[in-house]
Amino acid sequence: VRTDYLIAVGLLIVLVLLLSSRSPAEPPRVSPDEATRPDFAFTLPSQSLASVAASADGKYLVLARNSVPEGAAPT
Amino acid sequence: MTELTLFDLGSGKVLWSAVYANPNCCGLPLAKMTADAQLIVGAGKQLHLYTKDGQELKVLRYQEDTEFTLLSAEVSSAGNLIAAATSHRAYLFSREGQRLWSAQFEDVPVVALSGDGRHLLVATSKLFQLYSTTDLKLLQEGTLPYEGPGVAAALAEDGSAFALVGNPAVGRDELTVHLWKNNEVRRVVLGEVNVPQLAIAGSWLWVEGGFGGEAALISINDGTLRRFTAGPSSAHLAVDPGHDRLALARGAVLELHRLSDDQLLWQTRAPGRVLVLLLHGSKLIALGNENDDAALPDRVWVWDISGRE
Repeated sequence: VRTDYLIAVGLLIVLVLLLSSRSPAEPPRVSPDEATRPDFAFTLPSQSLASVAASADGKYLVLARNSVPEGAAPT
Repeated sequence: MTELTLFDLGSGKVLWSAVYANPNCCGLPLAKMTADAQLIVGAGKQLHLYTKDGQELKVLRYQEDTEFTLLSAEVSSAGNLIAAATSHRAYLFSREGQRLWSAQFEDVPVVALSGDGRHLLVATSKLFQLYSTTDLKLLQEGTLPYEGPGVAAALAEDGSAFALVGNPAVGRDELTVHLWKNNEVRRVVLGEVNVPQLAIAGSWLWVEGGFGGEAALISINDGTLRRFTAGPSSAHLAVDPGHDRLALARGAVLELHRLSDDQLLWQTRAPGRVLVLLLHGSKLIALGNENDDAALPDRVWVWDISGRE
């Protein structure tokens, strides 16, 4: 049996295995290592005790922020 | 002091900011908004009511000068009622500033208001009371087995179901969520959840830790439970039944699922650790920190998810 024939068959088997391991129903996935830049970003002046609320349509966002006093522990 | 800031996420602009006194320096500040954003409520030494354009409509005062908002404040969807709790009192106000009801409690109370404004839930770690806001009649009451002041409460939009959770009794690690519907109580036991938070939207209740631990999604109809273990990071959930969406954050990894069948629709990595998650309309909103070890946020991130299907 020719070596190059065996290599070709081996590659074919690996290819079939790789393709069969992906379910056609699986949705397109983004690797967790691949970041999607936020459409909006806001930097708080400092690390803060903060909470947010938004309108039902997501158009408006309210942010409440308390600066953490130096040496104080959040409760 | 608390600083309140309103953003227009369409244009990405800050619309206005306001600052008010808040003696609760070391607890989470509270801000609420009606579904249409026409009324914004900031809570501190008093309750401050603002219009969307930043005009201060009203200041609602508590009974004693020494009181301030501690664990909870709520506004009904239409903005006609505002409920809040201080260290030992719970209150219900009208938007016009009338104090409709108040009660004193031995332990620290929390309040929850149904979206339609017809039901008010008040709870401490030891008891709960459900009121009709139309005649302020007590509809249901009961006892609770929790310890310490960290109780959380949530009411369904129409008041037909409500849930309570608090710190377990000393010596017990598991967290028991109490869920009432049709006068029947269902108990759901979870693992470690630090400073438990609750929310109800549609027929779903979700539980997570304000400062870490696992998260869970519970059907208020049949108690079906989905648990989201946290691993090294805390797990945070946001649910939007109207658009059949569930958002999940574990550390910096964000996932968007279809709520009905859990199908993964989108996955990405946030610029840092996610600490709070909201899912409203086409926006996925996170409070987070670029430092993966941080417990407090220093960033707001927003993704438009309208094309993530």
